Amino acid sequence: MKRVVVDPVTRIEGHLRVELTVDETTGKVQDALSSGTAWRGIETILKGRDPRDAWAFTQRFCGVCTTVHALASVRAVEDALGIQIPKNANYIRNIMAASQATQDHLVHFYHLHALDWVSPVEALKADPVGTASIQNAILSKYDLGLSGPVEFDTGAYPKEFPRATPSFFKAVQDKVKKLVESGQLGIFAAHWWDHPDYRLLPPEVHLMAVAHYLTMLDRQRELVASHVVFGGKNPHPQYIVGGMPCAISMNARRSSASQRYLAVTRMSGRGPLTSVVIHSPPSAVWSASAVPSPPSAIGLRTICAPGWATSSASRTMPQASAAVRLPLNLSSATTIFTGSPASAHGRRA
Amino acid sequence: MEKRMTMWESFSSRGISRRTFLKTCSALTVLMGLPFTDYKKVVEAATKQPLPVVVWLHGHECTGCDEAFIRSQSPLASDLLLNLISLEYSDTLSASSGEPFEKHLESVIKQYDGKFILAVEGGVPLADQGISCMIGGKPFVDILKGVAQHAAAVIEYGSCAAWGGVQAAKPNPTGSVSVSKVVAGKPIIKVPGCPPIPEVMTGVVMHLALFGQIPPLDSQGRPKQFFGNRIHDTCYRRAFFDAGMFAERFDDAGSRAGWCLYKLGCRGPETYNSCGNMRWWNGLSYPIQSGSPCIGCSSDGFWDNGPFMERLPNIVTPNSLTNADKVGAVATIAAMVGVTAHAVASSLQKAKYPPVEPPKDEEQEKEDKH
Repeated sequence: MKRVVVDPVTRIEGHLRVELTVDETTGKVQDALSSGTAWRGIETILKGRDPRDAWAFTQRFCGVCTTVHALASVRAVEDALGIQIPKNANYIRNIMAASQATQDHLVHFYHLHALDWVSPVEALKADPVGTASIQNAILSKYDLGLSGPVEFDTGAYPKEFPRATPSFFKAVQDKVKKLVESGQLGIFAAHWWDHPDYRLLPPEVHLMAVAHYLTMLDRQRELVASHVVFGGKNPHPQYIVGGMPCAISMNARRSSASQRYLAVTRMSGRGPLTSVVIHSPPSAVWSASAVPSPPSAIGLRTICAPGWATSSASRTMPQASAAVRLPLNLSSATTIFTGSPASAHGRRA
Repeated sequence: MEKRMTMWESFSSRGISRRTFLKTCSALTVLMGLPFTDYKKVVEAATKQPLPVVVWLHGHECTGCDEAFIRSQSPLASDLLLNLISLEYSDTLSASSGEPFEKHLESVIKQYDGKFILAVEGGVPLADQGISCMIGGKPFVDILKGVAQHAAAVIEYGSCAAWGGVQAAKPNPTGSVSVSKVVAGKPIIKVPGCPPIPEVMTGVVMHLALFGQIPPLDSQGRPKQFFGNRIHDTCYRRAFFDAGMFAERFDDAGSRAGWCLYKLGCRGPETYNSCGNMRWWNGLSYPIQSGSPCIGCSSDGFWDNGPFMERLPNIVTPNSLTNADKVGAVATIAAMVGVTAHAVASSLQKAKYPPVEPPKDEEQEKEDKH
């Protein structure tokens, strides 16, 4: 029997220690113990504080899976106090939770987990032509063929990313080669790259995964742009108990930086859509234009979008709340509404 | 010891053009808050200085600062990790773990003794000999002390490392303190924020790497170029504060129109950070722009400065005669009574404080009539 201790376990949030007893003759694990080796006492700290602040403390449990603890906390407080939030606030929270889930899966899969079975060293042996053909086979096999609006580019590899080519994978391979040769391995240093399990996958797959690792390191940030738009930052966007704070009309902001993230508002007013997430600017039925850079024009311009925008938010809130009680956590953390704008907004008490 | 690459060698060996290299240098110059006349110095340093070796320790933290770090857009995360720094030890990103990983730390310390940058994320728990945070069977505080004495400089990355953070909020059950409470004798830079803006960290690391010295710091040890201003000073809603136009509730007309969030508890007037000018995601937004009052996450002890949605007391408005409560009243009275004796003064007042009335909700009026 041999006792193996892995401490620290890396590529996780926090601190973890794993102790194993292994039978050396069979290679089987006889006993295992895993323990978190950090305790911060946030539960204790939270006691006696203002419930409206609880989300901020709770959110600091984890910065990798940020937002979700805050969302749970905000929902718990609302549930305890019997607060029903406006529908639009629920939409926004759902958008944020869904984009977090997507981004977190991606980061977990590539940057936290993949290096357990993907090796940059193995990738050096790959034939880039083989990698490209594997990649293209995967893309065509798993292409869902969803036809979204052209401008939103819903394909697995968007148009600006036509990279499943031998030359692209060759370039990635060269980059990794330079890194290995330089001896400054950085985050890839001191690992058991010679472990036989790294040879379970063919080198071509290793190269593909390493290419994904590097590309997704740059792209993951884009997936949580909704947190920055609605919550102000990421990790740890801002919430309020009772709704969402982002009341300003996005239509009113004309900055070029934000235009590309305005898919949400650009989709409005087209009639029924297949996968509508939100139809209106955040919680604004009447959207008063923000004055982005005072002192140019201090004053107000109100826009009323006809059809589905019929009253002020304060007016709609109690009615919308009374009309539909959204399942806070019955089946899942997120609810995505489908249907036409009319069906989503038409119900009134 | 093998020769360490410079930034230019790193770029050129990966087939990145000189033009891109120079563009990166000019971006870094701006990012580090240097005047553009220093551009040549940056290029020279980037051509000569070896890439910085960074050791990143994790104490009592949530890994949010790490995540913020890889959200960096200019430069992009993969560039940062592979071309600009050599991140030799990081709990979150390193492939290795367990014993080989700890051995690697020892060898890095030996190899780059006195030359590496130590970035620390998270607070340091001291209660019960530091057992609240153990790494490799040793208390974090011991590891930190051991590594820090070999570092060239220490960066306290995030509010936990800089001030103690959320775990140091009352009653601080783990006895957590900031890094500078247990490390002495080294240059220490505080980069507070929960989490800090990604590009701020990039700027600080590159400044250290290229010039081999710490950037100018303020009295609390924070780099002046990023923490020299209050968010209030650079806030795009500042004019609404000055004009006495405040959102009173999260669902009122002022809130929808993007008025000042001061009365909803905004900590902007006492928080030093770059949110107002740099913002997040390369200028996309920051909490106030998203309608949420600042919670002051880069301030010392902000966790105990709650409730976050309660307004700060008595921040004096710029005319220094009144506070936020009185501004609206003064403007209204001036408009209603129209004191002739103060005609000159009130005309000035009017220019500064236009009549503050929430926009009329015509639809609502229509409905009320029905």
